[in-house]
Amino acid sequence: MTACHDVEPLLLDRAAGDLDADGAARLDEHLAGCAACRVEAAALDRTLALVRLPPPDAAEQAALSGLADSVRAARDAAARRRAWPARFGAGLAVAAAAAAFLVAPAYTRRAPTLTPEEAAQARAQAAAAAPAARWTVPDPDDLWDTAGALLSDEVASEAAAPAAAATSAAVASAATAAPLARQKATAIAAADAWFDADTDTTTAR
Amino acid sequence: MTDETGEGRPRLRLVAGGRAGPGAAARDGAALLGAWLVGDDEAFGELVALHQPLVLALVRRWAASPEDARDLAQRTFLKAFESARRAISRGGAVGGAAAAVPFRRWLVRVSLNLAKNHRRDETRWTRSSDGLSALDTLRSKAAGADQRLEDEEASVRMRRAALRLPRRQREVLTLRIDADLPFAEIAAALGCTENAAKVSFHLAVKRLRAELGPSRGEEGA
Repeated sequence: MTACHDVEPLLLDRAAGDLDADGAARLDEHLAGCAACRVEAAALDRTLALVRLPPPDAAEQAALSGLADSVRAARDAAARRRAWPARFGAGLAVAAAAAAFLVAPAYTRRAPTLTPEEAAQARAQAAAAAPAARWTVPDPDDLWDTAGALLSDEVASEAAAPAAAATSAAVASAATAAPLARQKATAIAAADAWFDADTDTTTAR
Repeated sequence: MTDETGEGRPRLRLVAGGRAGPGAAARDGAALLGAWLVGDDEAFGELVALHQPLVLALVRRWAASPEDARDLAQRTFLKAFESARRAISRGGAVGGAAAAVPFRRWLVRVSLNLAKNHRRDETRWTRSSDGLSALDTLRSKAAGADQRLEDEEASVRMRRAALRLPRRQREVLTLRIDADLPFAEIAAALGCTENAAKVSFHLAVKRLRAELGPSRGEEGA
């Protein structure tokens, strides 16, 4: 910049379209008597004019028409794609619960965990205990980080909710059951934890 | 989050999806978001229509073609909607949270992040071949063909330079000159102070000004 040093901020504010009336008056006064700063002001105008994009042309506007409908269509298509893993998860949960039910009598309960009812109750309490007032706006990047952007693209949170309930019940019973079922239970627990990350983090607080 | 409903409000271009009923009062962003969250699919479309100009303004600099811009805009919306849904289901407080989700600000963030991962070198604005059509803004001074050509080359060069700016400077610059956002809103979207946003803008302009090269005398007032 070849402008006078103390005027530079005013010139930049002007370029930003952010010059208040007082600043504008001072700048005008200076520009009236300083050719170098006039040249610099023009150069800044040209800089931004060159960087700026022209307004959307006809082709661009045409491409954007009906965007709402296409966004909706893409959303629905994604929801359909995501529906089947959720159904698969629910089926897995049923299978695991059945296995646990069959094998459980062979073992005594040596490490009592929460029953499904207790777990549900605890969740309900935790959910109720999280008042809207304490809810802080999460960072969108965090949302995607914690939920695992890769995985979660494939599973809709709303479709996952019933599946998550089913899997947590299965895990609660399976955890006290046979090693045979334990392998499955572990897999489900992982899935459950992941669902929770999406749908029910209140219990984690 | 008052920034979501405060100065962003003058968006009265609310289109309202063509349902030109006189009683169909235009709903603002927060109301639409709340309606969408409880399953109002009309609200979904209205939200897209409401924010479409902003999103397009933000993504088109990165697009290789109009269709590419549309694709970017669509992905921006999908991701922002999904983020909003997550945030609400996480918070477990639908009533209050719907109004609190800064959807507009998230759209800005999502489009910036998508743009960041998008192509850099082959946007339609940095290709010389598209330069002429892209130079409508400079037509006024395009007296002769030589001047036109010179402007075109300079424009391509300057837009390339803009995409090469440090990230924060680039983001502030594009939010300001592409989307015309006030610095307060830029600061909120980027999570910095308003003053920091202004400083970034100044730095960006100075850098681009240096890229332009020595000023020609005849451009003086």
